Amino acid sequence: MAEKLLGSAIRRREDPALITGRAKYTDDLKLPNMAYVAILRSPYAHARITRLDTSKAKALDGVVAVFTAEDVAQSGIPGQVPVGWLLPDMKIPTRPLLAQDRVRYVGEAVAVVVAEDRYTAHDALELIEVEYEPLSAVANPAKAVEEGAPLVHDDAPNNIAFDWEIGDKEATDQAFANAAHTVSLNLVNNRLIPNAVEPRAALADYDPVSGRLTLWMTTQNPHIHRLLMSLASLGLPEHKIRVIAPEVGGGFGSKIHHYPDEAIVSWCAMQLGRPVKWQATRAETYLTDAHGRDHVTTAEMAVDENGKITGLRVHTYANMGAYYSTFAPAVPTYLYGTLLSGEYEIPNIYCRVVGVFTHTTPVDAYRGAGRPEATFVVERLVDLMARKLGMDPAEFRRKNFIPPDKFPYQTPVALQYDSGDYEKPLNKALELVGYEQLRREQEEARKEGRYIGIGLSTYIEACGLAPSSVVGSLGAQAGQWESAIVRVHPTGKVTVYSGSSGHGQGHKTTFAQIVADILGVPYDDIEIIQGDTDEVQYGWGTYGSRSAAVGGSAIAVSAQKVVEKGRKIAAHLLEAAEDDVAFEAGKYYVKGAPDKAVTIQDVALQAYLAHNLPPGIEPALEAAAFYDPSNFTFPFGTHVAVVEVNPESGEVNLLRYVAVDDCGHVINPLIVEGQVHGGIAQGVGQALYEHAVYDEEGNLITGTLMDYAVPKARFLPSFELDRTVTPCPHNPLGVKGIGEAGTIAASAAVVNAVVDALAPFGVEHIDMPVTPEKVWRAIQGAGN
Amino acid sequence: MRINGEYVVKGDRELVFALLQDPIFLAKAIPGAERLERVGDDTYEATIRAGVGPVRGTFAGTVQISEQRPPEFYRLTIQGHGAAGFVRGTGAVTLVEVPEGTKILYEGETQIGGRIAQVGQRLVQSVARKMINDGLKVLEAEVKQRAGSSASQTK
Repeated sequence: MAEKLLGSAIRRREDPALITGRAKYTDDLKLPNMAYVAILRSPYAHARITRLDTSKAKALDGVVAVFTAEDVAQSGIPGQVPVGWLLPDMKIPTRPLLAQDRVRYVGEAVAVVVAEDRYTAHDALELIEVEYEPLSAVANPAKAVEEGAPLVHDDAPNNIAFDWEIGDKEATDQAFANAAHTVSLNLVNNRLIPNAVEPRAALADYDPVSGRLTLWMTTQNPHIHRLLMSLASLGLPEHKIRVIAPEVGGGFGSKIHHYPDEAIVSWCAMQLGRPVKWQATRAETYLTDAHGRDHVTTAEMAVDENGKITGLRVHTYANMGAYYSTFAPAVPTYLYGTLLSGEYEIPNIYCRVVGVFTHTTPVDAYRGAGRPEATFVVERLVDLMARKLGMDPAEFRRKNFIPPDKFPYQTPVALQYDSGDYEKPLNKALELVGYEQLRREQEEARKEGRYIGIGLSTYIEACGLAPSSVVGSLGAQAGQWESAIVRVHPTGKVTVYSGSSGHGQGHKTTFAQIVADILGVPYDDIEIIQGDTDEVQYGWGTYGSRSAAVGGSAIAVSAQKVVEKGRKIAAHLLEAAEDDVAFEAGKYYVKGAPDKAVTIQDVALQAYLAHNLPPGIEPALEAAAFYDPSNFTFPFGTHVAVVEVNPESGEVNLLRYVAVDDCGHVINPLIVEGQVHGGIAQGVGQALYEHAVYDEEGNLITGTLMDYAVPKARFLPSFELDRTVTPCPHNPLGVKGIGEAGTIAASAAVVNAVVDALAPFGVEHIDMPVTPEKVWRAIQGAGN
Repeated sequence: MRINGEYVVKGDRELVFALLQDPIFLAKAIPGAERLERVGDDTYEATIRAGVGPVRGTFAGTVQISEQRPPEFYRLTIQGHGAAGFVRGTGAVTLVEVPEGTKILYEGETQIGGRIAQVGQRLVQSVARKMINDGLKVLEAEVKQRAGSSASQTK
């Protein structure tokens, strides 16, 4: 092997199939005798179903069956959609597959049609007669907790799902009492709609003879779906279910969760004994894919007379929607409150989060999941405080950074940061953007009536989810380790089975790079298998920037085990002691005598022939690993946004965007940059464009791509990227994860830049998305 | 959604009031009305074909008249639903004699839901306004015609 593959920017092996249209997504799959599913959804945010008559729909030519909640109940399946993360004293309402007598959000499934073709299925929906008795609804989490607000669930008074806290309240209150200066901020973290290019889909095939269900679906974690289908929804034994993720067109979190729909589709296949397929429309995904964010927050920061941060106090109402989505309770708590220390030494932090039910689509993890919300709170407060103290925001950050010699650093909010060196990316980013020069240009521009703003976001994230015992103690009903099998075939070719389940990340490329380097076999000799519960032993899937740090580590450990087994066989073949056999670039050789060598391919063949193996060695050459990380990983970095704001129209023009990220060692720089690009785009989207809006009656009024603004390529400048490398100290690859960093950092950088631009008007905060109207109103409201 | 407005019709207040409660006339005047009949003293049933942007469909529903004070005031409560969504609302109509004829003042508050809300929200107000204005033009023409024919009768 000539050169190391780890760290090289090779092109993704996934892309030829994707860009030539040969990749097969769920909706591309067709089975003989397949029927099509369409799902009737509630038009009301809150109503009682007083009559449900499916007879006309059933009579339509081409309709195979129409089912309601009553049919599901009669079939005797568990029929539940469970929550996978428990918090102390939380209210857990039952979430059915189909609404029983009450609907609680627009889009909740009410009935299902199976027909010979998709058009007939959708036509039949219009023939189902439902009478609703409308009830009053509430969509805003801060209003939902008010006395007298309509209740989403009768057994959750004031719509409070949970009331969670972290940190030391008393000590924090004391820090504020003793503070030299404080700042406070009321903010809304806007609700977002995930926009995976491929809407959700499922194809279910049930064989009544063997009792086996095969389910192809848009999933980020097939094994989790199999588990929940088995335990909570269908009641089929786990070994009788096979879940397959074909090509999956993005997820951003929305395909982690276990929704009613895929379970309904599976149940229809079981009822009818024929394959059925459901493909969500874009409008359906807007109503049913778990949304992201949606916080109403009050946050305060305290400093002493030297400008050192002494306290942080945060109160958040987090919208859960009408039911818990799978991991919803974790997102505004353990992925949010624990990140409020940011990159700073803050001795006292207290955070209280009230989870709130509303008559809206459930909210769950969306790229970043809790960490963008935390970063936004911290980075906005840091900027506000710097302004109050008359300090440069970069200097204020520098002054409060956790210094490099204090790692591992225990924060007051549970996490122990294992490593970090925050000034390095800050310095690099400031240099890259030309900070001093920009500040001078900003001054000059202001004299001409032009408003340029520079916004920093010095972020940290906890990812590489996650040490299983830690998340278990925090309420997770799942492990977070990952598995891998590295199998060397008799010819020396390699198949790797990974519990990660890629859906756009390029795993087949990066994982092969890892194995090629460790085994010293050609990259093209390695195949990666993922996303199939029958092929892959077990896996927790892909989310939380965990695939490289946890999935990749599992692969590295397995590959290393293969090398060690091979060493025993090689030593036997070379008639040398095992300790005297070195392994390098795919060759075993006797130390000091590199000519006396056997290749790993030779060893693989001998391992399978098993004619001449050392005593006690089993035939074949493969190894499995179930890798459980000892901690989260902690990527960090500095992002800088430069904007110009037109004070007349309120328009924000994003002029430049500099990102310096530290994700540890890089497996493939091309893929890392791609992740950063996409992440920034989504963060900028939240900052400037995206907002899922509900009206007073609980209608989603941004229900299409015409009404919900996703950033277009032309809205974005060319990103200027760089990196620093502080390896993760606890995993074999020293990698940390980069899938979410851009999203976590970007929204704060952009809003900080806009607020900086408007400093001459006295504007201190604008809620996202920072639309021209809000900017204009802020300028007017500031009274200048 | 709130809707309000006013419109002056050159015609007698009694006639305008009567027309606004006449199912045969209303079926003509309401754009897209496929069926409209009186099913009780103060209750009408209607089937209306309407659309907002790309969402079109048939709405079936009822209109209930209350607080009638001929010829100057009545209140109406509407509810309708169809595959494209639902509409609920209340409104009040006041007729005032003015030198030019009769001024119709209307105000209402409606709630819409379902696909028309999700897809068409930003168009609903203007579609509603257009439907009302189209209807009022039909009313104006009818009043003019009846005034004309009654004028010719008196001759």
